[in-house]
Amino acid sequence: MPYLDKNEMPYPPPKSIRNAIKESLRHINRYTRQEQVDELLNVLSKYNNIDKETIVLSSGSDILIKEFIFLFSELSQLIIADPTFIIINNAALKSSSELLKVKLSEPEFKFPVDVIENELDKPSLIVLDNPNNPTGKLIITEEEVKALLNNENVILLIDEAYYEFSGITFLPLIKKFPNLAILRTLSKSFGLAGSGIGYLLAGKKIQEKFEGLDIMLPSPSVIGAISALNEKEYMNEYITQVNEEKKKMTNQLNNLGVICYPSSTNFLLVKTNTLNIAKKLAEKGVYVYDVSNYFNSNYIRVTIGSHNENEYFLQSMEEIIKK
Amino acid sequence: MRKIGLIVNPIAGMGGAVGLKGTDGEIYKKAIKLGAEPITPQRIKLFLSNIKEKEDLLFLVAPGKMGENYLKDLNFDFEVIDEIGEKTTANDTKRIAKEMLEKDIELLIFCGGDGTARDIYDVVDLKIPVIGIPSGVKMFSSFFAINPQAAYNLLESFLDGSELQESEVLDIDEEAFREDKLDSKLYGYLKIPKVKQFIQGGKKASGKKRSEAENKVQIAKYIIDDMKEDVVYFLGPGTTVKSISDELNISKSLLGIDAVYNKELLEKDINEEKILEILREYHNGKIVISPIGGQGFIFGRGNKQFTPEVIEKVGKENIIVVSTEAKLKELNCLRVDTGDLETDDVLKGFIKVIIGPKEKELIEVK
Repeated sequence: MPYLDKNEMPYPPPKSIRNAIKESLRHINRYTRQEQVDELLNVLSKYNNIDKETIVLSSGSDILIKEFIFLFSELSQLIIADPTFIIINNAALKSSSELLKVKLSEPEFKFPVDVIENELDKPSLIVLDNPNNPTGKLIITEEEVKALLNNENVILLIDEAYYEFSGITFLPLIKKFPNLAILRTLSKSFGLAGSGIGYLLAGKKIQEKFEGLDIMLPSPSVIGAISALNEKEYMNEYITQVNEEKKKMTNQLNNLGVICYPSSTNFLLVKTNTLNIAKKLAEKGVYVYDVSNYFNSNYIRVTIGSHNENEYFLQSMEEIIKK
Repeated sequence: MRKIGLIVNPIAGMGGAVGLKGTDGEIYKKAIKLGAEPITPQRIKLFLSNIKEKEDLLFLVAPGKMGENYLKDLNFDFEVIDEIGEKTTANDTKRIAKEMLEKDIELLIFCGGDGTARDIYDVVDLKIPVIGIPSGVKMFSSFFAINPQAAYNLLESFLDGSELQESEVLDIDEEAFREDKLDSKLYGYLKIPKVKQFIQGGKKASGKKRSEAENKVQIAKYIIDDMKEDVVYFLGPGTTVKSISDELNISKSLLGIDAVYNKELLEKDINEEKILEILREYHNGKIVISPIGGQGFIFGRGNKQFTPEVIEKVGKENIIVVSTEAKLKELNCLRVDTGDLETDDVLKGFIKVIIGPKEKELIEVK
């Protein structure tokens, strides 16, 4: 039964990583040791080619999004994209700041930075996901990010959960811009969704705000993350497989007459003429994400799964559409 | 048994193929002379063929070609309402719809275009929900399902206990439309089923959960709190804007434009001339409008009283756009069609729409 609704890797990470996690369970009666956390910081520092002092670790990046918005909520306005990652949207709605949502219009779904620049005459927290979820699109360029960061009123958080798929990051900019923070996760490209390790990368000014935020990281998650980062070849292979499958799926979906937006992630935003499409697919045993909280119910977000899962999904789509 | 009404306008859509833009009034005779053939049968058959679970449904159906003929061969339970003659008219639609209401249908499905929708609205209003299967030439009203398959999906949602939402019925002037001019006014609102989000589990939309009605009240309170003294607020048509008058405890014309001054009603249901006169006398004015659902027009559909001259006098910076979150999510952009290209150009670009207390959405006007 294909679960193509949460943008997960369709198979587990290599056995060596699973064994490391299994081994860590022998000490599950103990709190995570500081040396283990330090080691994770070291491997992340190496992976991102950045000082470990810039890293804030968390048990999943969702917590960091909520905490970031909470910590900066004294700013007079909060700006997010519409659509955006559901956790960003939910946290923004709970914030006490004034909220400005910015509609990303089809088919380009670009964040209109030139228009936003006119809105930045007061302290503003901007939270964007790039690539964007659920559109799969890169919504902002490096030049545009710099233009926003040059405004002293701005604090910018960019969620790069799908960075490994897009290959585009603004991380090098944190050295020059103390008002930028980048968010990453090991849940997507490293296939550790159930382990839940996310991290924030930012300069001192933002880091200071997070002082005293002690998030307990489960030791199996820490051990799994260290092991995964040390064996990242499997991640590259997964990305290659995603790109091949994505190409095939896009072609076949286009042949079915549905609109499939180009994506820089491991999922596709698909627009059909059939309402309730997510429910109809579920009735056939295929679970995709219903994005009707952002669009009509004729849109879905579908994860690129294994070859067999994708085939099953395409076959189900064909049956529904040609019915 | 769920009692569902079904009315089919057998001549809707015939004008399109022969370039007549509608079949209202006597025009359908011309359509027939030009060789037009009914397109409704295939639409209604396509819709009905989707319904697999028939045993729980009882259709109350209009006679012959207005409905009965399509159900006969498809093994549905049905009861025929009233009688019709050789030629069917708008009066048949209205009379039969009224009888169906008296027989307690919970939903009325009809197949037709904007003209049929107006006839249905005249009788049904907001009493029960409707589903519109599109088969007309003119279908500017946003509540029509995009095709018969989508209409079936709405029926499915309704039977599943979905929420309802209000959607606009537009009145397009066919004479003008035939001359390639689009002149429309808001005719009223019908209730349609809303498709529910299907989530298997995991991360769901949350935050400020609110119904459409709650959202309207939130917007109204926000606008009222922000109302400036000695400024006239011209409240446009629609239920979102009407909620402002409701909160102020003043009576509002649902489909017209009213002027409010210092939170009191100044003038009701005013035309362009009156708006300009008020602006001359009071100097400062603001326009409060809401986009037309599904299409996104903020000027040029349903509020022609806001002419280019009125818009120019009020000024773009004094236009307040309000919308419920649910309505706005279905729009990719907003649109203007004031009839004057220069005014349209001034209005184009990004505009902030108030969607809740302390919540705005920046969206492009095209």
